[in-house]
Amino acid sequence: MGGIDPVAAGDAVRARVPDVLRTYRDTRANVAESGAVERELKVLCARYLNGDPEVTGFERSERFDDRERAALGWAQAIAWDPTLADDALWDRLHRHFSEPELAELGYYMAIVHGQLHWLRALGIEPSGDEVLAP
Amino acid sequence: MPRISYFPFDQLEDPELRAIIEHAARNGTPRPETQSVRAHAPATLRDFWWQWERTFRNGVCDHAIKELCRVYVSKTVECLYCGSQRSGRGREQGLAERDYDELLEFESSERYDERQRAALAYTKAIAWDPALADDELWERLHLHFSDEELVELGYFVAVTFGQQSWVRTLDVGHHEVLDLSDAGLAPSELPAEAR
Repeated sequence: MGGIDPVAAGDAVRARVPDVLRTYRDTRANVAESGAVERELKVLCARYLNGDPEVTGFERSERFDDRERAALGWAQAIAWDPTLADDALWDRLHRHFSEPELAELGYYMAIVHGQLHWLRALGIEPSGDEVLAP
Repeated sequence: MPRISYFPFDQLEDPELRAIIEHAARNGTPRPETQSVRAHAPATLRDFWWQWERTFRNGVCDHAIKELCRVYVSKTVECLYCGSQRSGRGREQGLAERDYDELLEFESSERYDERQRAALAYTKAIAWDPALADDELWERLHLHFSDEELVELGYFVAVTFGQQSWVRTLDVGHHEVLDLSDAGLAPSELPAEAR
């Protein structure tokens, strides 16, 4: 491959509607790649939402600290079962995150969760670093 | 009480952010409560404004069909807060309250035409099972929509599906922020005399 990477498959599809591509690129720059919540935690949550087996078993793993577990617990509630976002989970989330961080992280996960579902319906499976903003 | 507090409107100094919240309070869909949660992280409030402006309120695909798909998502993921909102623009384009009633039964209901059914089947595949987006569905979709419309519709459904999946964890409720009007509320959320 030469010195210019090809665009990812998701962006190639979005490019059919310039406003869609423009909007998502703004999201990628302003929400996924910047903000108060660290990139590594966003990638971890995106990997969970993408079904990465190294992350989906987070409840039984000792690889993750309490802050990561709280964020992943919220990702699980968003993706699978909102009743998992109970008092205990919210206590943990508020212990580890400020409200601006929670608003940013929740919004970010919502964007990634939705995009992953759409891309799967298109037969596109994001991998590696792409998962931050698939 | 919401799980993330509503950012106090009177402490919001940025005129752009204030205008977004006021727009929600006066026009609805989205209503101001979820916008006030996003206001804690201004980049997300701005981002959502542009998502909605470019791919829901406007765009290449007609708004009314996107509104039906939005409320299908509300019903299927059981986001009651989102599902009790109605787009005023959708109403202007001919949607009536009864058009929302049988969304979960869209495949068997006679209320929807073939184009609407295809869009709702696409929405269902995005929300629940990508395997439903098979050759037969894509054939139906291409019969009724251009590639550009399918990109925008799918992207929009992804945005609203993700946001609603998040919002349902927040325990937000109507009439809790800057309660200026009933704009964008379903009849079930209105006072009895206003229904």
